[in-house]
Amino acid sequence: MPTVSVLPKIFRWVFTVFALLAVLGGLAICLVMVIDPKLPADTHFGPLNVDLLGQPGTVALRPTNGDADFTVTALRGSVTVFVERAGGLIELLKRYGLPLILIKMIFLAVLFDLLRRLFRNVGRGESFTRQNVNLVQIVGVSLLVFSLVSAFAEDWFVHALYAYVAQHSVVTISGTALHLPPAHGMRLPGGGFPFGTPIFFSGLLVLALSEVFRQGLALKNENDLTV
Amino acid sequence: MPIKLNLDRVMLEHHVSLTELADQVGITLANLSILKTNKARAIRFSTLEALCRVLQCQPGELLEFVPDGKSKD
Repeated sequence: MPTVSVLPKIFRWVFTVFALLAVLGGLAICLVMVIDPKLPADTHFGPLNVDLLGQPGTVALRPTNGDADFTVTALRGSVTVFVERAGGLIELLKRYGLPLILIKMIFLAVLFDLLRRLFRNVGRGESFTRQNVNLVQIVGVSLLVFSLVSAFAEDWFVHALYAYVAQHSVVTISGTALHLPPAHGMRLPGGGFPFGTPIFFSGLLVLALSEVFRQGLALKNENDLTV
Repeated sequence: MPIKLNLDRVMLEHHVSLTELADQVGITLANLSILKTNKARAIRFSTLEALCRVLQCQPGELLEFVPDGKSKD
């Protein structure tokens, strides 16, 4: 039995905790989706002083005709974003944002559980086994799949959000009101091409590592049968 | 595996049991069993030397090349 350090055990417990937190987060998201809380008609707050882009700004929510208007000022009042019917924005964030977060929670739970099992085996001194080769391959494939799924999901979310904001908001810069153009054909940040993301490259790297593990397994088996 | 280890025959000639041989050679019973059943992929010179010393034989008496699986036995 080869000597093993305490590090695999530490990582095993860290990933166990992270996996549990991800599961709890996912359950909380599901609960919110089921309860489907609505923004009360008379909800208001602010103006709250916040720090936006390193400059003082304000955020305020004002009730209007059964809904609420959302106002953000930044850069010492030079830029103002006014979003009418903030209740609709909240609904949009729930409808598009919560499933996106749920997808990420599910992926993180799966990833951390795989890593927990991997480090459990490594902690036992069983590094090069068929099970570990499979675990590393699954981690790599999961990262690739997640990079693709999240790219499309985030693109879908960002476009929906932008479409709503473009339709229901006015941006005022130094007193000049600007209306955001429609989102048709616009490339927005936060989504789109998935093949250049760090997660995608990480997936490729992990798949390459699985091949290293597979070769290590062959060497170990050869060594086990060398008397 | 074309290389066979004729441990059975040599052990019988020298009246040595598997347990005794494992103790004297300094390998585990499990590893000796791997050798005896020809499941080993390779053998170290140190192990071969120990076997020859204990069984008082030459490596050629233990090792046999059988290219098509036909033994001399």
